[in-house]
Amino acid sequence: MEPSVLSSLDIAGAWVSIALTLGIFSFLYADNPVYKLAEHLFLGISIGISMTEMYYGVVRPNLIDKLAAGNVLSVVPLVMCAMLFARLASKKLGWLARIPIAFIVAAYAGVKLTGEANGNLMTQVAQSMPNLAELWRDHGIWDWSADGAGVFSGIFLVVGLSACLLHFYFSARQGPTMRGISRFGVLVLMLSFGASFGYTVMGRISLAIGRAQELLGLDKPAEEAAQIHPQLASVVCGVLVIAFLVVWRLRGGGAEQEEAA
Amino acid sequence: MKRTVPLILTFLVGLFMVGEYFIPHYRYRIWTAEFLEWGVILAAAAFVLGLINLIQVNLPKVLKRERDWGYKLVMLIALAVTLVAGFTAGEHRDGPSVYKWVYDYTFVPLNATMFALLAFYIASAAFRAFKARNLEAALLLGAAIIVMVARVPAGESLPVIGDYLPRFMNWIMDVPNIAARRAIFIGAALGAVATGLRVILGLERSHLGAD
Repeated sequence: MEPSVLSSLDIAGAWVSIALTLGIFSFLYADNPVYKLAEHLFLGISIGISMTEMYYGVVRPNLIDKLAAGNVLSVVPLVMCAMLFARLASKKLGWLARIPIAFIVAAYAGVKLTGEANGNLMTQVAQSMPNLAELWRDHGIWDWSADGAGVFSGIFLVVGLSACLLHFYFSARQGPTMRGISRFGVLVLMLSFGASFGYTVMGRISLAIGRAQELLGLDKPAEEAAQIHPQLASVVCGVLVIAFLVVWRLRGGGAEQEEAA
Repeated sequence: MKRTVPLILTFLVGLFMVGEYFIPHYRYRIWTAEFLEWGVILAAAAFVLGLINLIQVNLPKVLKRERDWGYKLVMLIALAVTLVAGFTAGEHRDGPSVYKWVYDYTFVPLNATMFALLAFYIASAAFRAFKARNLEAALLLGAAIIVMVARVPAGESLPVIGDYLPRFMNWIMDVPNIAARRAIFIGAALGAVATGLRVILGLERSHLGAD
């Protein structure tokens, strides 16, 4: 296999990518102009990408192509889209925007009404009833080799779920029994929130490791890294960002934030 | 007229969509699918409305050179360049194009770095907030530490508990976590059903705005 030769645009892109990464990371020092520039660039680009993908993924296949094919029904969403923009044309016609909004809200409310009841409510309840006999036969009380599966976990799931639900049940007077169950529900919720937090932290840290790998060129094949020189790019961009921050600080930048803090 | 027509439309469309559950005929399904497709198109149009609003808010600030006008100008230029690049590339957006370059070398790293930045803040917030003052806080802290330690190779190589830690983490994720999440989902589903019913019956009118 021949080593891939990167174009100058790709090499420039990799340098821009490193510069922007360091620009965002400069926020760790303070809210500064380099970060703000990268942040606003991100805003503009992400909105532009969303709009483009929305057009080619939704509007074109579902509306424009169908209209071009002579589908008369597609005139209805076109008219409703026009109604949505009525407020821009005249304030008097602004109320017309309520019609497409009413349509979209009603359509999704109707779908959710049955979909949530059927898909979430009934399915979640049904899946929360473990077959204890089967669990006992396959795993006993607690089976380390199956990540703690067993009768204990089955009962814990049902009791924990019921306790959590009772914790959110405010229509009954909170007597000592209810308070006890509710407290157990809170403990189960805390375990879940802690686990979710840990999971999120690890996800973010793996993203941070990914960025560090890009800065060091470890995420690319060796022949591509040899053409891009990511470590050199990181040092050059890092020095430029730091030099800018020093000049910005010497010229009184960030004083407002310090006062506000 | 201004409120009655949308309210009647809400009732009729909502009832029609609910009807799909009770009339599982394929012709009925074709219509409900068509309605949902219209909904998706309208949501896309609302995005355009948002874009126009964004320009209406930011462009005058740039023209009047108000505070931070330079950043807003950068945002508007980036938006315009991306849009032009996207629409110029058209269906060939995945091939070599300015749009692909913008996506690969600016959007992807910026997006990943924005979220990676949270790792530092989430860690420092945890350091300040996580104090085992009572049983609830201790469980929160313990579960978070177990999940974090068990997901790295160092956790698995710990003496004695190293073998059990990933399994216990899986138990936390599969049992207490699922119990709590299902309770939240069931509560949310009940809320969605109640809100859907209120919308269709016209009791909930906030989406129509004020007069």
